[in-house]
Amino acid sequence: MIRYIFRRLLYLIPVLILTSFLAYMLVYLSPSSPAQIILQSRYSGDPTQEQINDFNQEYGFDQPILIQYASWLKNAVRGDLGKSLSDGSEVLDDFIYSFKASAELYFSSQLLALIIALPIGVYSAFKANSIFDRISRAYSLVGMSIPDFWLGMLLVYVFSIVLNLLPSFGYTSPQNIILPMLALGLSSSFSLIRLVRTSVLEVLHLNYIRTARSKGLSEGQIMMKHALRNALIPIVTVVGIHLTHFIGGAVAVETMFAWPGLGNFFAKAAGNQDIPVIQGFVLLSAVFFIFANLIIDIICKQLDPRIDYQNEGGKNNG
Amino acid sequence: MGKNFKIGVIMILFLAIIVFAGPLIAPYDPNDVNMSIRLQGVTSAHIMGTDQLGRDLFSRLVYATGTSVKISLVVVIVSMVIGFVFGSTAAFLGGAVDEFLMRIIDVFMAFPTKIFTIAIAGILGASAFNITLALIITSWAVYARMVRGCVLTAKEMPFIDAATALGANRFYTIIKHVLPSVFQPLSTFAFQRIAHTMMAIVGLSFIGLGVQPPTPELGAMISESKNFMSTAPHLFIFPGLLISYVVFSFNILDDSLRDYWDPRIKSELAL
Repeated sequence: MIRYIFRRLLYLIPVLILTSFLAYMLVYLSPSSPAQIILQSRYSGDPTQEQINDFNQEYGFDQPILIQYASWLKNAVRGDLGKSLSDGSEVLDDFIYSFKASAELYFSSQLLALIIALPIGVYSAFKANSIFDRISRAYSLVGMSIPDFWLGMLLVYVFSIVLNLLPSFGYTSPQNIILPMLALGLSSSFSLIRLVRTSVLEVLHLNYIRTARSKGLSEGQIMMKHALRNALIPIVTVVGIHLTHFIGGAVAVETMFAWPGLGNFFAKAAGNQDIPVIQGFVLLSAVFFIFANLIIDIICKQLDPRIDYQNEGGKNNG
Repeated sequence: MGKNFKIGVIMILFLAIIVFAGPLIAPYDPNDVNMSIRLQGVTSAHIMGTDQLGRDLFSRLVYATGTSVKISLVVVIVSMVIGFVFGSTAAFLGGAVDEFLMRIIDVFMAFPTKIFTIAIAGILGASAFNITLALIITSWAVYARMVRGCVLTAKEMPFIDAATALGANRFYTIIKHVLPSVFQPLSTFAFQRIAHTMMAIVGLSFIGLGVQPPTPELGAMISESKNFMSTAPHLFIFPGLLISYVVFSFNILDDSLRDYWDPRIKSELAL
């Protein structure tokens, strides 16, 4: 196990280097140079060539790209990702603040999704092809087709505009989280119901379930003692993957409810071409994402010793 | 094939008419502004009412559906082609080339998709073309990885050995035996991605980084309607219903096809 983790970490080094390079280089996709973009936001008008040259010299943009990248990375490793162009705040502080807001919303909504999806999915699989099963399948298929931000708007329409019960946006009172949490939680629960149902159904067809049945165990005992434990493995994996999606995954819902989360903050910064924020957030979210995936793999390996990750690292069949 | 398949096919055919014969269906020009009839509900002249600029909502919806669906199709098809070329090159050449190409795929997949797409769309500037480009850049790697996996699996199949034993040359074997076994899982996967891509486009347009008003697009229309939620709720309800219709028709067809096709593929694509 330790050898496995060590090898995975070693393999991450080239990926991290390339990822950070790509994060830095992203801004060069823009038709204007960084100096133009930054000076435009500073003087709110087109800068002169002289201003651009002065700026390039002052901030080292006249040096070769690799040297610029190296000094950016050196500062980044020390936790200095520069300051936002729009309000001068530290990029790292912005990231931590919005990361927390996103995490709050996302963890509570995923918990809600689990509470809804587990009983419905398990019962659906248990009574496969019953009326309950058919209704729950149709329900989840329809639900999966509804955009989360639009579901949020419907909730706002009913609970804020028509019934006037809950605030429609903001981050100040504890009530603010209810509607965005419902929107995201319901949205995630639809696909989760399907996943729970499939996972439990697959397990129910296995031989050891037949053995348990032939031993005369009741259906309830079979479900609790034998089926659920094994069906949980794919569910844990998917919930884990879902949890990493809070990096940006809830952007439309966050924007809809003016929730100061990562997606919302980043979308605004990207729209304003706030270069340091774009580079910093892309780098930090990629690093987080890479390590979160590693942790999920390790947990799955712990849960299910049958999984063989010997060939992990892209050398397997994909 | 069952009832769901039939429902799905009928829904998609209907959608295809809206998308490709839109100008024939829409009774008005989608950008025809008429402030004297703004924010009207359902009337005989405007069957879905009018928006904040007095434009006919039904005509705008018809064009908007066309925009969203066409962008999804372009994104999926181009990503699929790039992924196919990239993935099959890696799998066929193997060795150091494969190792190098796989690292590139890993790097592209190391970014959380949404953040990566938003970054590119923001840097390039919000427009229909740029959002298409951004989505292609962030989604081709998934296809490449999948194609590579399929080719590697197919290469190990006994029928490939049989073809080689019978004296087929390498090129013939690849064209005649390896590639066809990649096409089915690839097209299933691509089909599944249409709904997913559609959701991404409307979401990005909703937050202002995709298609820009006044071009009719479903997500952008919902975003424009935000300020009129209490006075004219039909402005956000109709586009949302249409998005759900489009995504549902792809979802239900995909669902019934998965039941029909090889169970091996079903488990591969379960995530």
